[in-house]
Amino acid sequence: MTEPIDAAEPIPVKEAVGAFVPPDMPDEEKMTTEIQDDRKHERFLVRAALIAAVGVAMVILVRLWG
Amino acid sequence: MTGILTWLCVAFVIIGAIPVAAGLYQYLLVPLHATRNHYPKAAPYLPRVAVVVPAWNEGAVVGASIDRLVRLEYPPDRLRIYVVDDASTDDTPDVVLERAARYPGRVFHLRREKGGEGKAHTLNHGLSVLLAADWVQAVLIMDADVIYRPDSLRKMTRHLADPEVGAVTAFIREGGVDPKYMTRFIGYEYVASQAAARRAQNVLGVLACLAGGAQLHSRENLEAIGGRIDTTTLAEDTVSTILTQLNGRRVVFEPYAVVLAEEPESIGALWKQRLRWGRGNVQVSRRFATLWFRPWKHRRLGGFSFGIIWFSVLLLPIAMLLSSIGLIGLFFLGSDLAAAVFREVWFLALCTYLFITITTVQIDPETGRRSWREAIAFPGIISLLVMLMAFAPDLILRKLPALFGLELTTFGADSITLALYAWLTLCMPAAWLAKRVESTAFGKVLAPALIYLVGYGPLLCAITFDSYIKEFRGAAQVWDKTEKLGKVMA
Repeated sequence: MTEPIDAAEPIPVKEAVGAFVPPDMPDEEKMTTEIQDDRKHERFLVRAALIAAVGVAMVILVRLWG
Repeated sequence: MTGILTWLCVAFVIIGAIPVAAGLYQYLLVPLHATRNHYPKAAPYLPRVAVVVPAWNEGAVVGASIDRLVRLEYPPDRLRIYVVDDASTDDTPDVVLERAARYPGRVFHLRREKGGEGKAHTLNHGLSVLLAADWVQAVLIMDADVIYRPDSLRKMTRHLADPEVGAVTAFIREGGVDPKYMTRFIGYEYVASQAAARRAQNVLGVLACLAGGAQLHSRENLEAIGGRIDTTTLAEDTVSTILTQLNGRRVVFEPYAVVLAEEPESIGALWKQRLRWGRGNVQVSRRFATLWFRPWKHRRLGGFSFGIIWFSVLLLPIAMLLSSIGLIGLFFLGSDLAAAVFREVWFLALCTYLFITITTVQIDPETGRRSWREAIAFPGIISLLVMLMAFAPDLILRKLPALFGLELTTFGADSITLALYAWLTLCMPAAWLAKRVESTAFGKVLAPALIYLVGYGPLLCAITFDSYIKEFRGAAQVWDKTEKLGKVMA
């Protein structure tokens, strides 16, 4: 799943310039945790598929019943 | 004789249903990505990355792209940006040189004096310079107008910690500031074709295509595929993807590396862009003709699963045509099978549509909220009615007219039935009509209305069909750049 990307205040690319600010780099431990978190987050796909399967099952049931 | 013809028609309908079944199969693989993914082999890894930005008259967008690239969460001493200026005639050189002065030692301007040959030639000019030096450990190929989220590059490089991985791609997300109906359709399509389908391909261990705007190659991989990008087809990204995998390296899709892109706002612009992609895919299919459905030669690329997924997209228009021919043939043969086969095929389409739509909007809820109308209308309102008809024929043919005191005659019912059978084919010329209408005085209203009625999916099929025609005729290969306005969400 992707998170909203500053959708509240979209900036046209042409205007998106400014002074250089060095990036804030996470350390190695944080990056390792991030990989584990992203890996765990992928479990949402199972939930998404189950919800979709319930939708399909309902349609099949209605057809069989009707 | 009638028996043979009947079974031939049934076979046509079944062949026509293969892409639907393949779509469902691909989506059933998506949840497996929860356990079958590349994260166990990923690790924090920050190689020296050279970003190659091909730019032809990108003055409106390239400056901000550079600004954002230097702000990526990546060690500044490990990131260099090379803008390969393809003999631009606008202010691209001035913009890039200004950024080179602002970020000394980090931004470089490479100029081609002869331009207009296409993205692959431009990239190769940059690659020849980059690979000549030892500094580069990985190369990120991108488009001048895309916007990388700050954490996207390091989320891609972590997969290169596994030496078996040759290339990584990101999720290109439609990011227009003020999305029109067409960009909302594209936004939804990208979630389905990338965030979902490429996860399924990760599960299969084989990827169909590295996104052109976000492909990270290890130096070893680029050198192994010849140190240059293919210039013989219109699908150089796909050729690089296949060559990487043929050389025994993996290609990984990273769904959490998000890259925003501005997409076409009109049918005409979409048609131009997708015709190039479609023709490229036809060329790639021919070029690797000895690859498909040969798992004994190439276990994954030549596997049946991947082959069916690949050709289900490429040959979808033909499948739709065969399905219509089969159903109409059965109707005129007076076979009772026509109605039964029609019902089952369209019911399968309904189930697939529901499963795909419900899953897709959950994979990217932000896009789901923005494009929910387009998600519903993706196959077209008419096709939704056909699905409803397959689901409850009695409701449409008898009960609904009865509400108005009407009763369908045999001729009326037959006419409706034939129209439904033919719709799988007719939707493609109808989509083409929407393109024609767009440039007329009423185009602004009529064209979107037609697309919602006919469907965005059939529009893509019509473009694919056009790509067959252009390839068959040997039409000139023109690199038509998609016009960009420089309006992408930050």
